Amino acid sequence: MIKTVDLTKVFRTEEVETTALNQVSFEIKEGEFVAIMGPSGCGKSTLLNILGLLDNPSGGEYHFIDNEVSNYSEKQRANLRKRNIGFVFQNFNLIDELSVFENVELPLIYLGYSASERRKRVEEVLEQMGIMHRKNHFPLQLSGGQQQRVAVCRAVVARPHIILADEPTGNLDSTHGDEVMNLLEELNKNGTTIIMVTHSQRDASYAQRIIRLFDGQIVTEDKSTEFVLTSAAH
Amino acid sequence: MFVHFLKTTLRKFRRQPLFAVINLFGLATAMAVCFMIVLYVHSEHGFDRFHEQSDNIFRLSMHMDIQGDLRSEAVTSHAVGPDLLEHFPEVTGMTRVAGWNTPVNIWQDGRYVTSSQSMYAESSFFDVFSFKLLRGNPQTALTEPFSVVITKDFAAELFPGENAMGKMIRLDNRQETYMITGIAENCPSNSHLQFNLLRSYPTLREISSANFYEWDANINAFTYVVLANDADMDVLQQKTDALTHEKLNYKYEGMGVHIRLQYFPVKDIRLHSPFNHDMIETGTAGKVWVFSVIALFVLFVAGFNYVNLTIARSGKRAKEVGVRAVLGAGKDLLKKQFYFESIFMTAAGFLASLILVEMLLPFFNQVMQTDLNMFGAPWWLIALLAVIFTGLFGFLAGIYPSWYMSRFQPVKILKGEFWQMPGRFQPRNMLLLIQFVVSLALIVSTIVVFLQIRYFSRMDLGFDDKNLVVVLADNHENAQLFRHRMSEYPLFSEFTLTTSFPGGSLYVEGIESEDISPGIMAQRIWVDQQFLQTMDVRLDTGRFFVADAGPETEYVLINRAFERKAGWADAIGKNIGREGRTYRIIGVTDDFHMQSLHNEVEPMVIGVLGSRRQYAQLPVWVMIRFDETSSAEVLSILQEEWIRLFPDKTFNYYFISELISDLYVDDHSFGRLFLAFTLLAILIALLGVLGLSAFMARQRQKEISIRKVLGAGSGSLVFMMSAEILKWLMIAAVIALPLAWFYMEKWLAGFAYSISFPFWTMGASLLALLLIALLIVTFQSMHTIRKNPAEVLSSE
Repeated sequence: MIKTVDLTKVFRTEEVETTALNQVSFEIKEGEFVAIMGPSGCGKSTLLNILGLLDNPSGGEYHFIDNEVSNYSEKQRANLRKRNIGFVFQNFNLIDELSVFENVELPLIYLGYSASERRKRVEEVLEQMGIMHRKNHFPLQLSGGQQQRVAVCRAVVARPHIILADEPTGNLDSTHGDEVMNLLEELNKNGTTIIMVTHSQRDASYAQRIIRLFDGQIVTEDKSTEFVLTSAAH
Repeated sequence: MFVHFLKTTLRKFRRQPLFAVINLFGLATAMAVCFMIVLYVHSEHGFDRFHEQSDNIFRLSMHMDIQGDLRSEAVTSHAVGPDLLEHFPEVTGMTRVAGWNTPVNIWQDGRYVTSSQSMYAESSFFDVFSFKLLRGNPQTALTEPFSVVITKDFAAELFPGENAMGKMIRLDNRQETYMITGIAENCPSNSHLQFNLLRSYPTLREISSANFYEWDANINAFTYVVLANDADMDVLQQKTDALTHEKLNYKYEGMGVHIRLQYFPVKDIRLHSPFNHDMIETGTAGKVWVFSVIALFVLFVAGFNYVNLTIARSGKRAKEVGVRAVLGAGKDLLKKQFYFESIFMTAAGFLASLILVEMLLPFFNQVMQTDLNMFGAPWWLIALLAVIFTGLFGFLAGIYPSWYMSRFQPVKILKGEFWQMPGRFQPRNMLLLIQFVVSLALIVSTIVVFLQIRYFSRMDLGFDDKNLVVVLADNHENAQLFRHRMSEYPLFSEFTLTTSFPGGSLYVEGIESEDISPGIMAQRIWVDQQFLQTMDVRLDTGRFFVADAGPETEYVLINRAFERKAGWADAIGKNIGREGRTYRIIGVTDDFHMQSLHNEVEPMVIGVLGSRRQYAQLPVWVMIRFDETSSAEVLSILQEEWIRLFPDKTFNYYFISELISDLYVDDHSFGRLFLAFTLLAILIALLGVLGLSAFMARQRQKEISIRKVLGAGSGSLVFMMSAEILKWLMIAAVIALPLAWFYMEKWLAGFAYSISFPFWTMGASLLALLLIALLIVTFQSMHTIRKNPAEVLSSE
C-alpha cells in the first residue's frame, strides 16, 4: 500500500541546510497498524507529512497505492489525499466556528457529497463513536477526549484507506487516551491502515510494528510486542 | 458550498461583532462619502443637458475693454439676438430672456404671492429649450403682450384646486392684467434657468422704455442662439466680430473702447461660466474637481484600511485554513471562500452606506446648496457603484489572503506556526503618514476657520445691526408718510431715511478736492438727521445735519476712511466736489461697515436727503429700530400698514442682521464643509491606526510573549507598541503643521480683518490626535499583552 525508497527531505534556509530525512526506505501493507517513534527532531513529523501527501520529498521515491507520487503537484496530492487519507492531530484541529456535526461533515463537503448523503454518513459515524448527543455543540464546549473523538469521526467519515495520527493522545489524560487508542484499534480491525507518530510506549503497544527514527534514518523496525518485552527486560 | 460559505461568514461576524462593526462602519462611511460625491459630480455634469438641442444652444456673452478696464458679462442688449438670426445662416434659432432678477407680486383680493423666479421670455423660448408645457400651445403661449406662463406648482399655489389656464392675474398691482396662457412643468433643478413665472417678451415693450434696436443700449438680456450642426465656430466668430464692428465698435474707435461677442455653450454654464448674475451658482468645475479628488482619496485610504484590518485579522484563521486544506479543500476552493467572505462583507458595507447616504444627504445638500436625491440618480449609476465598491473592496480584501494561499504549506500551519506577515511593508506606513498629515492639517485649518468666523461675528461693525429693519419707499414723500405712520407704534423707537444700508447696494462715485489728486472713489449716501442715532454710529469730530433744507444741503460728512485716504489731519471745513458741485465737510464719523468684513471700510461721503435731489435716481429706504421682539411681529405690522397706505406698491423689506449674516453664508458653509472633511479624515485615520496596531499586535505576538516571560511590564510593552505609530505621527506633524500654517495664512490674508494665525492650534491638534491614537493602540495591544505567554509560545 505504501512504499518508500531512499526517501530524503532537506530543508534549506539561506545559510543552513538541514537533512530531516536521509534515505528512508520501508513498506507498509494494507491493514497494518504501524507506529513511528523517535526522539524530538528525528524527522517523525516530516515523514508523516510526506506520507500524508502534505509535502513532497526532496529525493527518493514514494509509492502511494500504486502511484509514484514524489513529484505530484499540490493539486494532485490534495486530490489523492481527500479520497484516501484521514488525519488525527495531537491538538485536534477542529474549527471553532463550526459545530460538531459541521466539523465532521467538512470532508464530505469537499468531496462533493449531497446534503442528504452527508447527513446520513455523519450521523452514522457520530452514532458509532457515541457522541451523537453532542452533534450541535461547538468544540470549545467539549472536553479534550470528546474533541479528539470528534476529530476521529472527521478522519473516518469519508471512509479513507489510511489514517495518519500525529500524537493522537498527546493532549489527553490516560483514560481519554486509552479510549481514543481503542477507537483506532477498532478501525484497524475493520481493515483501515493506521500510521501513528507517538512518543508514548503505551500507545505504541497498540501497533503491530514500530519504525524507529533517529537523525532522519531508520534505526530499527520491529514488532511492538517484542519491543515492549525487550524494553521491559531492561 | 454557498450555504457553507455563508454560514461560516456569519459565524465569524458573530464571534467578533465589535471588530466587524467598526471595520464595516469605516468602510460604509467611505462608500457613503464617495456615493454622495458621485451623485454630486453626476448632477453637476448633467446641468442643462435635458434640452434636446443642448449641444447646439449657446449663450451670447459680451466682453468689454473700456480703456483697459476689462469686463465680461453674460448679457447683451436686446437688439443683438434678432440681428444674429437675420445675418447668419448658422444661427437657426434664437430666444431672449430678461428681467430675471426682479421679484414680482401677484395680487389677489388685496393679498399677494411673491415670485422671485419670474422673467420675460420670448415666444421662441419653448422652441429653443425643452421645458415642457403641460397646457397651452408652446408656439403661441408667449406671443401676445400680457400673457404669462406659470409652472405647475406655482399654479397650484395661486389657484389651489382650480384650473389656472385662462385665468387673469394682476402683477405688482399695476393696471394691466395678464392672462395665463400656459402651464409649464416645474423647472428641473439642474437647469441654469430657474423660473416659475414667464411673461411674454412683447409685454416688456409695452411697459418699459427699453431700447430694442441698438447694440449698446440696455445690456440686460440673456440671448440664446441655436447653431446648426455644421456651423464652423471660427468662421462664425469672425463674422460676429465684423458685425459687432458695423453695429457698435465703429462708434467708439479712438476712445479705447472695444466690445466682443462670444458664444458660450449652455451645457457648460454650470461648470465653467465665469460670468456673474446667473440665477444659480456657476463655475463649479473647480469644486467638482476638488470633490472628485477627495472621493478618490477617501476610497483609496478607506479601502486600504479595510483591507489592512481584514488581513491583520485573517492571521487568526491560520489553523482553520490548515485544517481545511488537509481535509481536502483545494487552493481554488479556499480562495473562493476568502473572496466570498470578503465580498459578502463589502456588500454588507455597501448596504450600510446606502443608509448613511440617505441620512447624510440632507446635510450635504445644505452645505453644498444642492438638491441631490439618492433615488434621483439613474439606476445604472447606483448599480455601477455597487459593483465597483463591492467588487473592488471585496477583491482587494480577498486578494492578499488568497495570494498567501498559493504559497502556503498546510504542514507549518497545523504545527501552529503563525501566518507570517511580510515584515516591512512600506506602503502601509506611507499611507498612515499621509492620513496623519491630512488629518492634522485639516484639524488646524478647521480650528482657524472657526476662530475667524467667531472673530467676525463678535467684531464691532461700527453700528448696531440688531433689531434694525429697512423698508423700500419709492420716494422721499412716501418714505416720510410711512415713517410718520410707523411712529405711532411704541414698538418702534428710532427712524431714519437713507439711500443705502449695510448689506445693501452701494453707490460709488469719484470725489474731487483741491488738495487731493486724482480724486477718491467713495461711497455716496444720503440720509436724514436721525441717521447716526438710529444706526448707532459714532461721530468722530464736527457735527451732524440738523435740518434737511437750506444751507445744510451744501454740507457733507465723511468717514474716517475718507479722511485717512485723503491724508487730512483735520477735514472740517474742507471742500469736496463732484461734477462742478462743491460741499463743505462739517463732520467726520467713525468707520462703520457697509460691506462684509472681507473688504476694508471704504471712503464714504454722507449728504442730507432734502430739497436738493442729487439722489433722485436712488431709491429711499425707511430704516426702523425696533424694541426686542419677534421679527414676525414686526413684519406683520409693517406689511399691514404698508398695504393700507400704498395698496398698489410692492412691500420690500430687509432685516439688517439677516443681510449681514447673508454676507458670510459662503464662509459658514466653507467652515461646515471643512468640519465635515476633518471629521471624515480623522475617522479614516483612526481606522488606519486601528488596522495598523491590530496588524502589529499580531505580528509581534511572539515577541511580546517572550518579553513578558523575561519580565517586561504592560506599560513598557504598550509603549513599545505605540512607538512605531507615534513616530509616524511626529513625522506627519513636521510636514502637516507648516503646510497648514502656510495655507491658513494665505486664507486669512483674503480678509480685510482677520485674526493672526493661532499657533496654539498646532500643539492642540497634535496633542488631540496623539491622545486618540495612543488610546486606540493601548486598547488594541492590551488584548495581545494580556494573553498568557505560555499559551502563545507553546503554539509557536
